[in-house]
Amino acid sequence: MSEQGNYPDFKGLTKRLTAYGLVVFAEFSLGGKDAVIPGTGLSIEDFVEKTLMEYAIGRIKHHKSRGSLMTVLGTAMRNDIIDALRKKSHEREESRAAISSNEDIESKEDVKPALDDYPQSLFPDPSSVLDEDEYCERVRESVDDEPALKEVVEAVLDLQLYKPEEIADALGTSADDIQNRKKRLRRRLCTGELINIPRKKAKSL
Amino acid sequence: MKKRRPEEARNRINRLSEALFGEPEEIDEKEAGQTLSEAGFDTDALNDRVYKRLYAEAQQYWKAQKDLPPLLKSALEQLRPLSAPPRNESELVHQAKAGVERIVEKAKLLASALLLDTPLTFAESFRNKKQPLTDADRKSLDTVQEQLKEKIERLKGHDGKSK
Repeated sequence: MSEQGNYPDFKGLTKRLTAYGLVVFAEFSLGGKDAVIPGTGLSIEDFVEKTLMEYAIGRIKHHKSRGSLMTVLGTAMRNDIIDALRKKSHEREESRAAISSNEDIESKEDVKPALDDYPQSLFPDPSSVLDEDEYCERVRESVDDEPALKEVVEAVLDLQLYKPEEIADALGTSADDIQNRKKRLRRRLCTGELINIPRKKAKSL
Repeated sequence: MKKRRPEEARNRINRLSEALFGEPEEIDEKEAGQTLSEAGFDTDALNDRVYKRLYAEAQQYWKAQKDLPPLLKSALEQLRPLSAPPRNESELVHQAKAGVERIVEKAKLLASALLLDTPLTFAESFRNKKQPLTDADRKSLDTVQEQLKEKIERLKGHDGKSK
């Protein structure tokens, strides 16, 4: 809560949402302060602003039954980011289909495709944003060299254990230790470990 | 593999993410501050951006002569930049206090940068050295060089943050 009584601390929320935005962007191979969703120009700050604005004017409502305010806002923002990536992927799919159906005409007239139709090798291809297998594969690769983190990743991905207590039981450790390892996973994510693992290009191009 | 509806696929990835990297709630202010600072974000600039967006939204209400939603009003109060002209005495006091706190913070940073972590010792071993440097000498010099580099980087980092 803020100094103003019953209202939330907006500066704290801005900070925490931006940090969470960094995590979400990194999960989808978009890294760093200046990252934007390819083809949209939307940055982490854009999503934070939008989420806080929607909350401030009552478009996003917080009910305690849905969890803490930070969880409600963070989840709304995460879904916005995924939707933006997905929407972009649909546009790309459509434009790819249009290009291939017009291939002959284009080759005859030597028409150059729009800039956005070129493969964006520097950015991840958003078309596989919801590809669970690829997501899991990249997470696994990112912790390959760190046994403590690898154990958590395997417990979640292979044993399908989701709660810290369940993971702790399986690994013979405490839930606090699992929380610490998750913190280390977030840190690894933000320092670029997952970002640096490229998505499969064959699928997208 | 079974083809999932987009919402279903999104929910599954969200669930995995939550189990692996935690819920948004798990990022506290301390961790957030550290993460943002490492990534090169300026928190004041972030607040200013959010303020501008909310202010633009508030204008719609003012134009329509409607009351601001309480949350929006509170957000604008909280995020109001220190550079904005004070509207009353309490804001003037708040801005002055925040200004002084920033100066004190900067002075503390400067002082901590000038004071070494380890006590200063005067080393004259290389002053009149005639023989070529040994491996041990080079190691000592490299260590000093690294320490100085780190200190400069730290100072640069703090300076960048405070801008």
